Amino acid sequence: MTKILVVDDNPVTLSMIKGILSDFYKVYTVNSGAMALEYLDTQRPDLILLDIEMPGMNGIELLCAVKADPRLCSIPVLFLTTTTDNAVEAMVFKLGAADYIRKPINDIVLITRVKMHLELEAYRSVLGIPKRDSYENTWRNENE
Amino acid sequence: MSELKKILVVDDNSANLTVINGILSSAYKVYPVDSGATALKFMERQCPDLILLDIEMPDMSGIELFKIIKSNEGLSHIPVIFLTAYEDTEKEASAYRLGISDYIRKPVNDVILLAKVKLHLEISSLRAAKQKGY
Repeated sequence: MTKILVVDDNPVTLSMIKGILSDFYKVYTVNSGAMALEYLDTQRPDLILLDIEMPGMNGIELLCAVKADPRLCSIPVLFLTTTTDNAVEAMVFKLGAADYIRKPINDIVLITRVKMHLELEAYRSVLGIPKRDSYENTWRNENE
Repeated sequence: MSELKKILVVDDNSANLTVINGILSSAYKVYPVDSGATALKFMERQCPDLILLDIEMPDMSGIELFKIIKSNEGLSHIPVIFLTAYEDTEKEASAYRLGISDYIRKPVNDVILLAKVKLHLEISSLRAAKQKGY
């Protein structure tokens, strides 16, 4: 079964997301970046949902750790954002995130986005397409 | 190099059309049109690879145009991204229920627009490749 790791320091958000997704996926919830790294040490989820603002290690730092690990770097990471500021959402793409989802979480929006990125990853693996480039790389290639 | 992907942009606001054309035209062939009627006329002759569609337009709204596209066998596979000034998540959810591919909020940010367009063109072309059995 497809595995999704959800990282958020807010237990209400964690249980809400788990409630929405657990009919379709195996959902693992953790409440800190440190716990996420511990999980990722032994497991490889198919997709990660990641809160930006967390005490200790924040979401951006965790994303960078995931992207720096060759075993994990192709996992799509979707940020959960509370901001209505386009600039923050633009920044997460530049850092290599696959997408963002705005809080408060809407079930249809969450399911649609998660399904879409899992579908893309499934096509990539069936068709033998190499892992995701970072946004920076694709940006450069397309403008050369 | 392969042929540039074609993107149809439908918005009654000419300033928006110019901004979007400016962001996308270095990587894609962009066709800006200012009404649903003109968009349909365009699609009688050409099949775009992706459509960016304003929701609020006089006469034919983006939702009406979207329904026509999805009910047409030759066009229904094209990914459609809505452009909207709404902040409301409920509106976004109802757009997904209709079957849109994505939802971009105005004012349009260049990084977000490029990332979303690239994402949906890739999903669409891989889906087609898989259907062909590669």
